[in-house]
Amino acid sequence: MRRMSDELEEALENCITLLEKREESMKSCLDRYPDLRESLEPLLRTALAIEEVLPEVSPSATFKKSLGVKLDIVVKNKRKELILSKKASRKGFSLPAFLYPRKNILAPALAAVLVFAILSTGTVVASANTLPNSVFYPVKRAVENVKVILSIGAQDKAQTYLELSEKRLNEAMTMANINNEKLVENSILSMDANLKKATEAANDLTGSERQEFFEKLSKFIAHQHLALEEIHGAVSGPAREAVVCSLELNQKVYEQTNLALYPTSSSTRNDILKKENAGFVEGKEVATVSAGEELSEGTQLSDDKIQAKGVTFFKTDLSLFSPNGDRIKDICKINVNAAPEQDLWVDIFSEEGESVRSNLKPVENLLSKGSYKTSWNGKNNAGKVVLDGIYLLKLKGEDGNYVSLTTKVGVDNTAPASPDLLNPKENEEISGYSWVTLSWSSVPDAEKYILQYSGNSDFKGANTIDDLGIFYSISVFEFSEGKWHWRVKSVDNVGNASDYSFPRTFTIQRETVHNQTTSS
Amino acid sequence: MKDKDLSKLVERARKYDSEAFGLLYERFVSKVYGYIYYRIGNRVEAEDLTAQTFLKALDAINRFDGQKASFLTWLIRIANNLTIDYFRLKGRRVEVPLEQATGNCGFCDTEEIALTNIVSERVMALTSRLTGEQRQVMILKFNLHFTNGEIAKVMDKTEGSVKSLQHRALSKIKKVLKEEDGLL
Repeated sequence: MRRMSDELEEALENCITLLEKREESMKSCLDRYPDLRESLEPLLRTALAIEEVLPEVSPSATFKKSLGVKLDIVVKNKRKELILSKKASRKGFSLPAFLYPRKNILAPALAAVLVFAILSTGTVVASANTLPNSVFYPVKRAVENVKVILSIGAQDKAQTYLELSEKRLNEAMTMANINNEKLVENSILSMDANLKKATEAANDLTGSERQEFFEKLSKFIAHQHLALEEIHGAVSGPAREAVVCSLELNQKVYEQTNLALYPTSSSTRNDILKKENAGFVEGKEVATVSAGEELSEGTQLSDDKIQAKGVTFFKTDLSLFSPNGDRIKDICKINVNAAPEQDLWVDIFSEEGESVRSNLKPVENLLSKGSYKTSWNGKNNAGKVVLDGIYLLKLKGEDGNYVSLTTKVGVDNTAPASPDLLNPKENEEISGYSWVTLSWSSVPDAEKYILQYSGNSDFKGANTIDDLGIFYSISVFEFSEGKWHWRVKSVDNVGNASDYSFPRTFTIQRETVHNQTTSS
Repeated sequence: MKDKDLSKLVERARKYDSEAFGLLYERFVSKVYGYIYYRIGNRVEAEDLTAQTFLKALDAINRFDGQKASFLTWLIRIANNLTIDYFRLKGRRVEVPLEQATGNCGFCDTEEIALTNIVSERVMALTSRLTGEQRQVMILKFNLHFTNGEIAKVMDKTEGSVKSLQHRALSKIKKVLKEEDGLL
């Protein structure tokens, strides 16, 4: 004889299916099972209630699009690998099946064999476009090493190392696009090593060879600076640290290049400006003459100075930023579209019209002529972080006259208020449930909350949940029996964080777990 | 999309045809995301796990067997495994997003709609009282509208077990509601 609960389960399943298909109303469905009606009805009402609170949700359009792009790249790379492996197999490089998986345990040895094959037979298996996540990448690197060894003379070596730096930069960008941070880090470290070697080799150059090389180097590091800024925004952890180190090297090479192209003996006012701005980019204090002030006064101008031309766009990437050193929205990027190949500068003023920062120098993107970029780290001419407020940005050309287009950016270094803890109440004793729901008051400016809980009142070794978003309630079910302390802080949309709230304590008391009942 | 068209797309995707994989992605990304979101309750992490699901699916697409399960069931199974790993790493915690329910109630009459709305504000919080498996069945059933057979494949269980889990989950929620204020 069938158990009552079996019959109820079947009736429940049938009714849910019919209701979901909109084929029957609840009433007609219940009429089918008059004996079970009393038990069935509340269960069906509960099912409907659950369906209502679980509407279909979608990821954000930005996420959907960016994941789509990333997947497209990965699929295309996989297709390339598939084609390469088929080609290799056709050309006699019939690799054992165990070499094809993504693990690169045997890759260095394989690389040596293939380089030998390439050098001796001329067959190219590893494409120059092979990416670091490919099984053939070690082959590419081995071929490059051979090329370095075969480079003769300072010019050849400098040129080869510069080319390798460019390749590693492109690889770092591609790896950042597919979120492979380890390979971003590797590519950047390798790029920096090659860039150092390129500049070392370039020091031995003289005459037109030297001039020609440093012009190329100058173009590369301008492009590299922009690319590194892009990558910086896309990665975290060690990869981001590698980008920061690389930006420092980029700055040093920039200064070295300027010195090589514009020797001190013949420095012009623009050279001084360039060097001064180089200092500003990294937020270093520059105690030399403020050439910007000299320009803005307009008294020392000669007739051959050129005004800014064709400016169509002048904006910051952020409307509000927080230069507080937490690496979250610390820098605001300034984008300019104007006629190509001209010198432009940005000056920054307070709302009262007081000059705050002078002569930030937008650099032109080599791949997109007429597109210039620079950044402001929120510091004034004395290297101090400015006060909260709205700042006006003005753009000028070589003649020191501002264009009519201006833009504004806000600086916000003020932390939001700390949340008030709501539940559990102070010293509450909790029993009966494995879950504990912690809740706190919402703070108007908060974009996310950070929660800490610990068995120790001093929060030593506390668990931190820093991805709560705007939710101000969380259920946790890992609390063991005993006393627990918890606190929350709020973080605003530019990364300013409040102090932690005054902590609260609750106690978990375990009870005997009751068997779940299956009847109504 | 017809099943035949879907299996053609999968066949093309096996050969790393980016257009085909792109179409599969477009078709299923919201469902995968929705499943993960309701399991873990955090939009950012749900997006991260959704990305991992599709990358893993791409890696394993040649092992997909259309005879054993539909493509969506297979994707949800991958998402499910990743969610289990996520809970292991994160110390099994779940956020409870107290979002207001909206939507219509099919054949419900006015009284039923009113009753359902009163109840639904609290159901999301109440589902947090369920066991992981019970909660999983609720999401697969009432958000993705999987059949018991499909749920069984995702969870590695028999259809009978799924039916029981569903019954116990609904009973538990109903019981708590009834005890607290006699709504049902």
